Amino acid sequence: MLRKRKTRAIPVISTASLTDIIFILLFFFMVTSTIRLNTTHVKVQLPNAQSVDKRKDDPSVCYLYIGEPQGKASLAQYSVDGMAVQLNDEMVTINQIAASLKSARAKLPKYQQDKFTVSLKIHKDAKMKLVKAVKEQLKQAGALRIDYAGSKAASAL
Amino acid sequence: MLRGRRKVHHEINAGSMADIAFLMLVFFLLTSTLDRNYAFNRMLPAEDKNEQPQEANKRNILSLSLNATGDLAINGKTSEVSGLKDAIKTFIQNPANDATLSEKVEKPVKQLGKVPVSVGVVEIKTDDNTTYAAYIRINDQVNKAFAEMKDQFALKNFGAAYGLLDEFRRGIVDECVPVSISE
Repeated sequence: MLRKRKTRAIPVISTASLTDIIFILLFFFMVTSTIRLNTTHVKVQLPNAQSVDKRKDDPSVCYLYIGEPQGKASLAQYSVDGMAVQLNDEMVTINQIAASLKSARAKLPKYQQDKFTVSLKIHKDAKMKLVKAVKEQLKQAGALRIDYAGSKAASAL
Repeated sequence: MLRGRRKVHHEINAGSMADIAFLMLVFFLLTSTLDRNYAFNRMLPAEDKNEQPQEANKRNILSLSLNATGDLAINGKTSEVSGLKDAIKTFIQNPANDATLSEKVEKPVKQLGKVPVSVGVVEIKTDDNTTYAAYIRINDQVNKAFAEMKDQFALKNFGAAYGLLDEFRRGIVDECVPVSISE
């Protein structure tokens, strides 16, 4: 007995809930992330610290990175003992820091100039010699309000 | 003349919704970072043109020095980092009024009357080759010591931890437990 072959319809996968899933993902990322302010040209691995608290991005905060220069050979001129300094979006040599900070501060409106803060994001293996030189520049620029960034991971101590 | 209108259910085509959400998702993934900013504050001393070497009594200085390998010495004696926090607390608070630890000066403070305030300074010295990680580790302990002393003071006088006080009372605590760090 021959059975008649059934014509099978290919079942369609419903994509109606896909929108919802994507939206939930979208909201998750919007809530948990912050907008990237600067493109870093240096790789910074922050030291662990526990006595740190959360900071908001504020226009009166200027970011100074010290870390290993990444990739490009053109960055080699900024490198001191394998570490280079980046101020906001630009690479700087140590002697340029004071002048750059002053101009960054001058761009801010008056009421924010008093709150002007430099956030130091320094690689944990950087030497204090470099850090001291940078702090000397900060003093010269009159940028006395600083904060040290650390990563709040569970550290040994 | 009445024309019979047929009701048509207009359904918005939601098929492209997923694509739009996808685009937004990709946009946010590219423009954002997950790392949050965590930091602690410091004030640098102002650059003084006609700087005079400050005469501070030796008993009022707790000198922390770090060598190139990150070992700590408190007032010249090698010490473990784990004991640093308590060393700072006893130095500043000086509960037994030891003549080798920091002096206290009576200071008139709003609401509390005269309060003995320590004039002790914690000094942090580093070698050129000390790593930044070691430096931050020491600073972390210093911060913790001062934070605990502030909490203690706040609990004793206002009955709540420092973080729970209002701005005005925090100001009072800051005045009575000054964070004096010199580098």
